Amino acid sequence: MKMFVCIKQVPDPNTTVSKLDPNTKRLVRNGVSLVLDPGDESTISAAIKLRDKVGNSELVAVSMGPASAQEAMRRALAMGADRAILISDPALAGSDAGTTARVLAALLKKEGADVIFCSTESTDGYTGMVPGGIAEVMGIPQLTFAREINIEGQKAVIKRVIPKGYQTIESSLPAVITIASGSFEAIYPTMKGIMGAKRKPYSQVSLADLGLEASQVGEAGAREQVLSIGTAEARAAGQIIKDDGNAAQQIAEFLQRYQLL
Amino acid sequence: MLLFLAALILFGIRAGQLVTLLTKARPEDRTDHINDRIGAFFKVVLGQSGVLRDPIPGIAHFFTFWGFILIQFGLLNLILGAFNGSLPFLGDNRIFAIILDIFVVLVTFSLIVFAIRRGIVRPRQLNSALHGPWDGFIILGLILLVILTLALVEGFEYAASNGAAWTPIGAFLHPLLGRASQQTNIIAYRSFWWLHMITVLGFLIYLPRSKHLHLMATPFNVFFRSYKPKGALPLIENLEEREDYGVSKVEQFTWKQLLDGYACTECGRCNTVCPALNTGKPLYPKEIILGAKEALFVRSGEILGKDSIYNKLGIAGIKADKTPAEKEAHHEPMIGGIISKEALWACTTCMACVEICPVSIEHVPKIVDMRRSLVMEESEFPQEVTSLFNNIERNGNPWEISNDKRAEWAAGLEIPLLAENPEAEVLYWVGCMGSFDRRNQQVATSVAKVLKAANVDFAILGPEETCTGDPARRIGNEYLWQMQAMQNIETLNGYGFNTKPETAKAEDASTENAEKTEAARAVEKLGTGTLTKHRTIITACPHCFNTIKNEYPQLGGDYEVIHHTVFIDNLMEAEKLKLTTGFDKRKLTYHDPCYVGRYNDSYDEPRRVLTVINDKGVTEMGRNRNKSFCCGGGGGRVWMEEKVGQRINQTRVNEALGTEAEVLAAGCPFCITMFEDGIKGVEAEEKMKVEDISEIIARAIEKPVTN
Ligand SMILES: Cc1cc2nc3c(=O)[nH]c(=O)nc-3n(C[C@H](O)[C@H](O)[C@H](O)COP(=O)(O)OP(=O)(O)OC[C@H]3O[C@@H](n4cnc5c(N)ncnc54)[C@H](O)[C@@H]3O)c2cc1C
Ligand code: SF4
Ligand code: SF4
Repeated sequence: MKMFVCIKQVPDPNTTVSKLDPNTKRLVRNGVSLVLDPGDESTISAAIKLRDKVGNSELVAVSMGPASAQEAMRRALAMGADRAILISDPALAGSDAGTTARVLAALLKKEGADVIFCSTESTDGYTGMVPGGIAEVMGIPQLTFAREINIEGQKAVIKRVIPKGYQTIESSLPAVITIASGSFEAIYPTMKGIMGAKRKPYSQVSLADLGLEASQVGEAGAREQVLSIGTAEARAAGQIIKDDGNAAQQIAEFLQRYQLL
Repeated sequence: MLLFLAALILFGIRAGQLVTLLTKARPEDRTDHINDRIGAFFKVVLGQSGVLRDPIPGIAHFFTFWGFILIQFGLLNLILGAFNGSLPFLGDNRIFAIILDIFVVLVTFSLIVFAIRRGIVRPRQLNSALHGPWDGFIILGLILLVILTLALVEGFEYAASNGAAWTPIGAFLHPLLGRASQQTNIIAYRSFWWLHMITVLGFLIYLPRSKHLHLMATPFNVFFRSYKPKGALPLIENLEEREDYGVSKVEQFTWKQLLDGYACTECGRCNTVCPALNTGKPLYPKEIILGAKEALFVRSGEILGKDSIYNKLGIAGIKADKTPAEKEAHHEPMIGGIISKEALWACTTCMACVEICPVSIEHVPKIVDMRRSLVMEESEFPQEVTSLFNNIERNGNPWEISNDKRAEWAAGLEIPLLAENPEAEVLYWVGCMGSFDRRNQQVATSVAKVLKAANVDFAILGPEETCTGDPARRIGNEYLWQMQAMQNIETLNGYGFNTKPETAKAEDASTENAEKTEAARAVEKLGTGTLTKHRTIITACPHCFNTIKNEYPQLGGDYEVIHHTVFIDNLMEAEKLKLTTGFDKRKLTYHDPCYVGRYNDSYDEPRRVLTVINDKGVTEMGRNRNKSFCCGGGGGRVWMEEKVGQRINQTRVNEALGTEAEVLAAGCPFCITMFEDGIKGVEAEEKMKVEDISEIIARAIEKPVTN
């Protein structure tokens, strides 16, 4: 079975205070430390788990991004993916979520993917539109919020998290599966993984390789446009209650004010 | 005679097998410091200084040890006697006979002491999972039999020879043996002679599979003990090219690590001091050592290989599996089978076990070697540790904080960065805790205050400093430690702190008394003011201190590193710091951090400082100096949850509370954190405060000098 996991390199969410460039209206990605999206780490772990469970399968990490995304790809390989493909092309700069989905879908189709893993949303762009976009462009089902994944014959069966428990749902293959956050713990790479990653197949493909035109992608092909950016209003400082004997009372009153009690 | 030969051959095979097993292990050079090795051999083996630390069993052991050696000579004498010969010098020597017999009596008493301890007192640490409850008694019984038969041999020999073969015991026993005929006496003499031989030979054969293997192995173990800095874990070389990382299979230990198993006397002293065990964790340091030995024995057939003569002889399994259940059990892996993973993760690397072991066994490197395999080969470790590793790797500190903020604590304190003052004589290595942890930022501020008051020309690295990697190394992530270490070494060498710039890779920095000489040199330097070439790194974190000082040399970073308490002591001695004597009037106790005390032997300096500023001096806790009881934070434990048993930090806090001190003085950011949590845990915030020594000094500085 051919399994794919879509991953993205993002500014380290733990250390970076995101800055937006007022001219391009995009995230500043220079001079910040870039890491494999922590959310994608869990998704990769889920994919590895399934690959090992199903057996006789291959897991490929794919990403669309600048050449620097190689580092993130290495991490995916160190974690246990079997090979990696980076789609990189200067014409892709400025692609919107829809384009990203189309480009990824082109590759996934070409590769004959059976199962496609995505995170629910990225940690930087945060639109959450790419996975659905891929499913739409490829004309295949999307299974969301999976916390347990199985392959039974030619079907994907997942446990899907819902507010009051979970649903078991199944679909035909190929399918896009997105992961419920917190359901899979990120694998920390072993030394074998880290060293082996250097020897695993890694390739970079261009637009032409996917049979796409530059005019369909990047700034030119974007159907979404960022009109303006602004800073969110700073959150009002919280209220600190000093315990002078009736703190409990005050907290209760506070909660009552918001009808939380 | 045949019997005799057979027994010797059997013994020889067993011994040969044990040695061959060691040759299958990894190599390790233990021939440095040869003079010290010989000295230690005399003191510890012949003088029994190790066991004598525990007086009652110690003295009994001393007598048994020497008695046993004398009996060997007596035995040779007896054998020769059977052929009408005797040992030169000793054979007919009455003084030897007297000494021998005195020891026979002493050994008998010692055996009674041992039997009482084993049978009636029963200290818990004497339990043995490997050899079962009877091994100890069998050994005691065998020794007693050796002694009894010897006494009877002497008695009947005296009788048979009509007093010609004089021995004190013989003469003493003679009247008690009755007036048998000459003939009976000779027969009895012969029978007991044989019985004596058989017991001694039986002992020899039993020995290699019992705990008394230590009789043979201990002398070697003491001789080959480590003379490297105690605090340094062994380096894994060629990380990028090797196939294995750490130890998962027993033969991946070095021969010396395996010899440790042979040498263990199963006395259980290590168990009595282990902070993990003593707070209910499933870690028995003794069982780590014996577990490795067991793993070696159950796999000995495999390790020796099919072609080994021992296998061909069909006696390869030193500890053969008798029942299918045993076989099953012994095909358990060493880690997660014979030795539990929980045990490995519970260790705080406090070194108390290594410190107390009478036969120089090294537990900590073994535990870390097995952790290394779990981390680097299996990616198996407590879940909390994942973010620690990721953060150190990405942010250069254990948290999700950008390393750019490393110097923020110093804002407004007018502390130069080394980049601004590259010639600074002293680098204050702040460490992650001092830089980012709120409570320890206060300590860092105090250290800076003290340095300023003493007019020390110092600077900090700020964002150029990154985690030393100590927690990663102790948890088993050697790769991450090496990455961090190399980055820091590059920075420090770049500023010219390397004391051996010509030797890129210093093998074994001779660190005998390094503490003293460093201290002495620091004083000298401060006194004379010749600073240009002399550069010192000081730090308030014993973990940074230990790894930079003792472990960075493994990667070519040799520095003069001084713990801040020692540095303050030096400043006071050089009169660079003048303080109000007895300024602090509170009752105070001091906790020796493991990485300052046991790891680096600084016990006196912190106490000297405290004694000057505190009018009552230091009120000691029961467990102090090299017996100090860990705070629970070392070995990466501070980053893991403590789910089993009592809390180590609370246990220590309660001990401190027992002194009725108001202040618990510390010299380690992890101890401070652990103890503050511990104090909250036992709700003693009103009773006791935790303070770093530098904080007390900083306060004393603000007070004008009155004396
Ligand atoms: C040259 C170049 C420059 C780029 N510059 C930017 C930039 O400045 N800002 C920016 O946000 N993006 C940039 N991208 C990437 C791309 O435009 C975004 O990934 C896209 O907008 C997705 O939006 P999102 O993050 O909201 O995705 P979401 O829909 O929130 O993502 C959900 C999941 O979809 C998958 N996914 C999303 N994007 C990718 C991807 N690119 N490759 C593989 N899997 C993916 C992941 O599993 C992700 O977790 C660049 C790409 C290239 C080639
Ligand atoms: S390791 Fe040392 S202290 Fe522990 S039981 Fe063995 S000999 Fe005794
Ligand atoms: S180092 Fe300390 S915690 Fe670890 S086994 Fe030894 S005594 Fe126990």
